[in-house]
Amino acid sequence: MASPGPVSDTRTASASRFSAIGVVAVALVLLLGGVLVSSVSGQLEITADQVVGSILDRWGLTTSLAPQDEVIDATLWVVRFPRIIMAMAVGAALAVGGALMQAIFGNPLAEPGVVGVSSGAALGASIAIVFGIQFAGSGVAAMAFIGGLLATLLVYAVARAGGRTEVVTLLLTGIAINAFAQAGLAFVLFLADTASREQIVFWQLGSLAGSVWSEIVVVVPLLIVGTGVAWVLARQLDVLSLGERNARQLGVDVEGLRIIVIVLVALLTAAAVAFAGIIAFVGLIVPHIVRMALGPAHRSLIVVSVVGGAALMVWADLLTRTLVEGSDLPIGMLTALVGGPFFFALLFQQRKSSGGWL
Amino acid sequence: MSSPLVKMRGAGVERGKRTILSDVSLEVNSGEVLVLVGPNGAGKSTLLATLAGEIVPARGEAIIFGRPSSSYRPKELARLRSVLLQSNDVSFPFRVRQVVQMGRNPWSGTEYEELDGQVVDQAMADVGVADLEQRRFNELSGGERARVSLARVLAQHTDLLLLDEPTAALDLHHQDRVMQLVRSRATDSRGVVVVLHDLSLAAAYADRVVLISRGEIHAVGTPREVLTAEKLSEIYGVALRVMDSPDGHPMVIPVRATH
Repeated sequence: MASPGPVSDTRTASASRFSAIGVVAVALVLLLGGVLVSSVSGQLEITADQVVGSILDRWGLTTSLAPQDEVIDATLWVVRFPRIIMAMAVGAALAVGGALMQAIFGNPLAEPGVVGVSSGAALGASIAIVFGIQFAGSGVAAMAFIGGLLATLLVYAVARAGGRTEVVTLLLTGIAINAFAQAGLAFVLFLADTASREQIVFWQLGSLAGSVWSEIVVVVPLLIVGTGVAWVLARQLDVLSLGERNARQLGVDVEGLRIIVIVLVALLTAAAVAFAGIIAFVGLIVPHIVRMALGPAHRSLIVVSVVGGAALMVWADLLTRTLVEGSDLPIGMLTALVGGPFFFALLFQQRKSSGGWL
Repeated sequence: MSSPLVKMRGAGVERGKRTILSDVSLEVNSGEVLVLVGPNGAGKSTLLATLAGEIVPARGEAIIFGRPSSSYRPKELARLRSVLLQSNDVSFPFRVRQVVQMGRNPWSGTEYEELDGQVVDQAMADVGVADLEQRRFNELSGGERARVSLARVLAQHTDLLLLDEPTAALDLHHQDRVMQLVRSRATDSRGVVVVLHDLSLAAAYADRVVLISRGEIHAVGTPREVLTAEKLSEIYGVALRVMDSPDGHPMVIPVRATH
C-alpha cells in the first residue's frame, strides 16, 4: 500500500529518527494527559494533587498531597484507576492485535473487527455468559479466546493465497464470518434468560464501566506476553512483507511464524473483547497512524501502537463518561462513530492516489 | 575442481498430476554463470526453486552444498543461497534501504551482523540504487523495484545466487550492468544461476547454457553449443537465426516476414 501524503525523498536518517522521538513523545503526552484528566473527571470532585498524593501514598510515601477523605481514595482506587488501566490495556491489546493481523495478512485493512475476529470472540463470550461456562473463574475470557481463535483461523484459511490477501476476498470473508457470528449471537440471545440477555446486549456495545482489578490481572499479563512476543518477532514480520516465498528464502520459518501470530491475535483480541465488549476500529486506526508517522517497521510499529492504542482508548473512555452528564455511553459505539468516517477517509485517499485497493 | 555447489540427479517434480520437471540432472559449479533458457512454461522457475531447495524433488535428489535439500532448515539455506523471484511486491510502504536491509535477515544474531550497514551500502551501490535509498519501494517504477530487489538478494551475501529473470523489467543499459555484476559475482567459490528470456544476453554472459523444454533438459553446454538455430527453432517453435554479433557473441534473431 502506498501511504498517503507527500513523500520527502531528501529526508535523512537522523531527521526520521528525530521525528520518531517526536511521535513517541506526542503519544506519551497524550497518554499521560488522558490518564490525568480521566482521574480527575467524574461526579466526585478530585484534584490532580490528590491523585498524585494518593498514588504516592500507596507507594508508602505519605505526603501532604494525600487526600484526607476516605471516599476520594476509594473512588480513585476502586472505580477510576481500574477503569483507566483497563482502558489502556484494552486499547493497547487491540492496536497490537491489529498491527499483527495486518502483518500476517500483508494488508493494512486487516483488523480484528473488520474481518470478524471480534464477533467470533463475542459469540464465544456470550455462550459462556448464557450457559455459565467457567474455566478457573475466567470462562468468558476463555470462550472469547476460543471464538476469536476459530474466527481468525477461518479467515486465514479462506482469505489468503500465496501469502497475501486480496482486499475483496478479505472483506467478503469478514462479511461472511460477521454474519455467521451475528446469527450465532442472535440464537444465543434467544436462548438466554432476561438477565443474561441484558448483560450480553450491553457488553456487546462495549463498555469499560465496572472494570475491576481481578479482570485487570487477567488482561495485563496477556497484553505484556502478547506484545513481548510480537516485539521479538518484529524483524521476521518485516521480512514477511516481502511475501511468503521471499520470506522463506530469507530464512523465516513462515508456517511457524503464522501460527504463533494467529494465536497472539486471538489472545489479544479476546483479552480485550472479553472484558470490554466489541470495540471496533482501534486496531485499524492506531497502526495506520503510526505507520504514516514512523514507517512500517514492525518493532517501532508495535511499541508505539501500544502507547497510541492506550492513549486513544483512555480518551475515548473519558468521552463516553463525560459527554452526557451522569451517564455512560457505550464505548464501542463511540469508536465506531469515529472509526467509520476514518475508514471512509482512508478508502477515499487510497482511491485518489492509486485508484483504490483492488 | 571443487565439488559442485548444487547437484541434481534424476530429479522429478510434480504438481498435482502434472509433471513439471522430469529426470533432470544438472550440476552448478563454483565460478560459473549458468543460464537457464526455454519457452514459457518450460519449467525454468521450478528448476530454479528446486536448485534453491524450496521444492524438494519427488524423485531423484537435489544435493545443495553436499547435503540433500530436504535436510535443511530455512535459515541454514538462507545463508548458503539467495533467490530473486519474479514477483517482488512489498506489502507496506517500506523504504528502499529497509527492503535491502531485509536481505540481511539470515545473518541476524551472527558475527556477520556488524557488517550489515556496509554490505547494504555496497549492494545498493553495485546495482545503482543508492540514490533511491530513502524512497518508498511501492512508489518506484518496475525497473527500479527489480534493481532494489536484486540489491536485497546481493545483500544476503551467499555463495550461490539464483536469479529468476533479473533483467526482465530493465532498460538496455541496466540489463548489461546487471549481467556484468552477475558475472563478477561468479568467482572462486561462488556461482550464479540466471533465468533469462533474452537469448543474446544469455549468449554474451553465460559460461554454460541450459536449454529446457517441457520439464526436460534439452541441451547443456557453452552458448555456442546450445544456442544454435536448429535447436532453438525446434524448441521455440519459430524460425530463428543465430548470427555473430560484432563483439563475437552469438546473437539470436527471429526470422520476421518483411512488410
